[in-house]
Amino acid sequence: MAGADLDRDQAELRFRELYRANFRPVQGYAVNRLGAADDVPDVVAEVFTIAWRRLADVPPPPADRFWLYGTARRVIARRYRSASRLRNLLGRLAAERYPMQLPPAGAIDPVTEHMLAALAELKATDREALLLVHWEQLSYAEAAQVLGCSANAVGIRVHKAKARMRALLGEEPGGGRRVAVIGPNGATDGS
Amino acid sequence: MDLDTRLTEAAPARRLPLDGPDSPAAVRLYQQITAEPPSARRSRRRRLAVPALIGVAAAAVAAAVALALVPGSPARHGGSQGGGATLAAWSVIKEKHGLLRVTIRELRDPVGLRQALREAGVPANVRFLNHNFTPTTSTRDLPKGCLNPRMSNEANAKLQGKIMPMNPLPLGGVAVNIRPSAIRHGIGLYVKAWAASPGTRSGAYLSLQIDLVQATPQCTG
Repeated sequence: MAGADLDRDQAELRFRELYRANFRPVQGYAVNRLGAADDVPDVVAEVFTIAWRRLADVPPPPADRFWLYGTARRVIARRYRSASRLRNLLGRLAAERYPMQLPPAGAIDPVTEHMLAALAELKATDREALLLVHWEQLSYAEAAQVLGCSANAVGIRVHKAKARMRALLGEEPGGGRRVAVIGPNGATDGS
Repeated sequence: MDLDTRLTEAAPARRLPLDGPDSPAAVRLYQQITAEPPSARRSRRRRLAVPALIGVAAAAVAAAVALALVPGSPARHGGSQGGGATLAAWSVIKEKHGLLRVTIRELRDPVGLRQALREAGVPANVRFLNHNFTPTTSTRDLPKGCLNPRMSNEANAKLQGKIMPMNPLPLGGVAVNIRPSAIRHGIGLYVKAWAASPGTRSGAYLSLQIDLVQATPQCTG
C-alpha cells in the first residue's frame, strides 16, 4: 500500500509540474484554434485529463508540451467531428475547417480578419504546420513532434502554406483569387 | 509589415487574457483531474470519459458532469442505503448551507434515486443508460414533449451554476452538488448516468449529465 501511495505521490508531483508549466500554453493553443469559443475550457480539461491518465506515456520536458499540443489537436478534431455529426450542420466540411471559426464582425481589425479568412482556405495539414511555427512559436523539429512527421515535411508544409497565403492575399503577381470574408449572417464581403 | 509578422500578430491568443495555473478555474480543474488515480500502465489507446466539467458553452443547454469512479474506493460519506462496508448504489446527503450531495456509484435503482431527490425538494427524472453515451446539448435525448426551460443560454448556464455549484468540490465518485432552493418553480432536472465501458453497471468511468428541463409530466413525471 505504501508503494502505491508513493507511486501516486510521484505521479501527482510530476503531473503538477506538467500542469503548471503547460496550462497556459495549452489554453493558448486551444484559443488559437477555436477563437474565443466557449468550449476552450472543455478542451483544456480533456487534454490534461488524458495526460493524467496516460502520464507514463508523456515524455519529459520539453517534449511534454509537444505531446500536449498533439493531444489537443486530436481532441479538437474529435470534438468537432462529433459536434458535426450530432448537430448535422456542415458535416465533414465543418469538421475539416474547424480551426478557423471567424470571430464576430468588428471584433478584430480588417487586416487580421483577412489573414484569418485566408488561413481558413489552407489545406488542414499545411495550416497546422504554419500555425505551430508562427502561433505556438515552435521550430520545425518541435512542430514535427506534434504532427508526427519529419522536420523536413513541416518545412515543406509551411512553405506551401505561405505561398498559398500570399496568393490568397493577392501579394504575388498574378496571385490567386482573393478571400471572401463570410459574415455572421452568411453575407460575403469579397475583397 | 511582412507576412510572417502579420501571421504572428493574427494569433487569437495574443488578444485574449489567458488564465494562469493558479486561477480558481485551473485549480478546480486540477483537483478534479487528480481526484482520479493515475494510470500506472503505458497504454496506446484508452477509452476516455468526458472530463469533469460543468459545461456552460454558449450553445449549451445541458450541464455535463463526468467523473471517474474508482472501483471499490470509499466515498467520503456513507450512502443512504449503505451499511457496514457496503456502499449504496447512490446517495443523496444533506450537507451544510442547504446543499445536497448526490453521488452515484452503481447504475441501480433509478426510481429510488428519483424519489429521494423529490423528497429532498428536487423535481427530477433519472435515467441510467445501458449504453455508452456522448454528452450532448441536443434536446433529442430528452423524452418526447420534454423541453428545456424558456430562457437564454446564458441565463440557463447561470442558473445551472446556482443549482449545481462546484464549490465545495464534490469529490469521491460521480458526484454533484445540488441546491434545491435555487430551483425555480416550474424547473426540474433530467439526470442521465451511464458507464463509458459497455456492459458494466458500476466501477470505472461512470458519467453523469444533468439537463435543466421544464417540470412537466413529460420531463419529470
